[in-house]
Amino acid sequence: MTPEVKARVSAELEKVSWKTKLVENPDAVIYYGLPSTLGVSSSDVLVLVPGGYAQSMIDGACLPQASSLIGVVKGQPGGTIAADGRTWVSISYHPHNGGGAPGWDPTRHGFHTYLDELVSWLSVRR
Amino acid sequence: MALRQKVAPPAVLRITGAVRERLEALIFSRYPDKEWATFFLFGTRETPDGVVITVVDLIEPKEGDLDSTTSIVRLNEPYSLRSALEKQKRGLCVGVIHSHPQNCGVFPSALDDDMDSYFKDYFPAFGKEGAYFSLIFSRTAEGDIRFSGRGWSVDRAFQLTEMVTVSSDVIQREYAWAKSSSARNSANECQARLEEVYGAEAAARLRNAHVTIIGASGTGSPTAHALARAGVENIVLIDPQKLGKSNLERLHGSYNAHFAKGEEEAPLKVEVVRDLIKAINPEANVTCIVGNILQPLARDHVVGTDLIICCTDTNHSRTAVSELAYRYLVPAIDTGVVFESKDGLMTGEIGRITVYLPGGPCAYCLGLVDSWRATVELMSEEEKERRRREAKEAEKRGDNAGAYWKDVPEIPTVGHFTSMVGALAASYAIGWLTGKFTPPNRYFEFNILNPDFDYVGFDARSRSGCYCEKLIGHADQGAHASLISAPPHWPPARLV
Repeated sequence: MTPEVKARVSAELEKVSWKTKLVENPDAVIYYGLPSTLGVSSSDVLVLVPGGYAQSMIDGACLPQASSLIGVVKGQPGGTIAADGRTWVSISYHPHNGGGAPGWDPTRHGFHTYLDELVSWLSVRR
Repeated sequence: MALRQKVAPPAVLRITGAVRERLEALIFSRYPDKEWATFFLFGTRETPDGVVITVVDLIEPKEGDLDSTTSIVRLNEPYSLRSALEKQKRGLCVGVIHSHPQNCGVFPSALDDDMDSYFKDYFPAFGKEGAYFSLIFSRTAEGDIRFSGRGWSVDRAFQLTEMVTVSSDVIQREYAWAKSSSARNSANECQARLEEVYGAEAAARLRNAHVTIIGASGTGSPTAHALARAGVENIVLIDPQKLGKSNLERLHGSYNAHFAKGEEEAPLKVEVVRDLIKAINPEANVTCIVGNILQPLARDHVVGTDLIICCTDTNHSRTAVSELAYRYLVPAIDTGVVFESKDGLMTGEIGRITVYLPGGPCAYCLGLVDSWRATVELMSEEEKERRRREAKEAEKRGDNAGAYWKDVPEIPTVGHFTSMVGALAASYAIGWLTGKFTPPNRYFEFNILNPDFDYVGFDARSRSGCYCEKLIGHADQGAHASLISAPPHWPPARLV
């Protein structure tokens, strides 16, 4: 992750009161304990920092392997990703690419606003 | 670290015309005999060769901040503390600018040494930023400005060598007093005609101008060609590609001879354009970067130039140059070319010119960035392939395939028109660098196939609260709001 990307993502995460962690290799943000209404009270979610961020839009989300939310939330499960010592399952969830959120604009959107998309995602059955 | 170093790396000061005007009105307010001063906020970008500092704003003195009973500058403690707290709050750097009396030199006095040795340790203690700069200005009875400056950033010392002032009607590069005579390039005979039209001062300004051209192909090469013939002697070229045979149709300076050893052995586009410039003016100083404007090596070279001309017509370059304009005070002229056809006939050969400058709207404010296209431009081939595969699977499931992948059609362009738009960009660059003329609008487009060229032009404003309004001059200290970065799959940029 370049210093500029790290500075930007860190600044975005400082804007939210939720517990988060920025990890590297792969570059990603982990949101801890996001609330859900789909059979579990909360879940951790990992979101990859796209190459070329922030112009490249944030897209997709990953749930912990064996999460009961996989197959329940919107989006097709895909491959697995190892990050921060855990295994995550990638879910094809695309809020800013026709998925209901406004078109991506890096002067307004970022990991701080993606939190809202994730909270709504974890509360709507597919 | 010694306060006076004989040879220190160079520093370039960048300032907007509006701030410069306020600065001069303030520090010369007790002229011709008495000095005056102000603290100022600035951003920085340190490069391997030196540093660029960008003036964000003045922290103007209030009543009692400076001692008005003496003819020299005496800064009172509440003023320095107020400035230090402002620095800490805004995550920027603080320096001081003061005047010397009319017709006096601008070399630091022993009192200036005392002041700087105190402030260079005082201000870095507030907040994270460690740079401090001290500038001295004077004005002759004829109105000529002289200046000098020095600065420190953690373990490096710098000497101010140049100042670039950017306003909407002129971009002016001036040299620090100690270097004033040696730094200017001598007259160029090729400029005789240009001198007749625009005058000797304009010709000198072009010789001393530093211009970046992003993209060395259909639009970038004629831009470079026209600027070289106008006498611009310092050019940075940025392009990642090798010359291909199809480029012969539009790349100025390319010939069949470049493929004498086969297409595999063809030169880089930046080398072809460099050779074209050098063939016109062997004295030209051309820096060739094989890479992309998003990469740090390119940025290190671009931030010291007067003006960028962006000739790639890509969303990521457009975003990058519009961000460089407000964060680093490097203005830009961005070009675009579109062809349209119907029933086998051309209906549109459309050119677009956009001017980005500090205080003006960015590419997002103007609605000139397509988010999906921008994302695709920065994707690796592997990711594009994966997304195409996922789109096919989504289609089979009856899901929205467009959420995974949408094709982005490439629109080909041809040489006669890219040459025209490149020459147009060079024209406006010449006008801006000499202060002789400006484009009719900061954004305009035209279609050469229609009556009156279907001209559409406007001068828009920034959206309220946009970064382009809030981060003017923040340079590297505005990284927390950077709009774009180089994706990791790109090969590293290099100089050739």
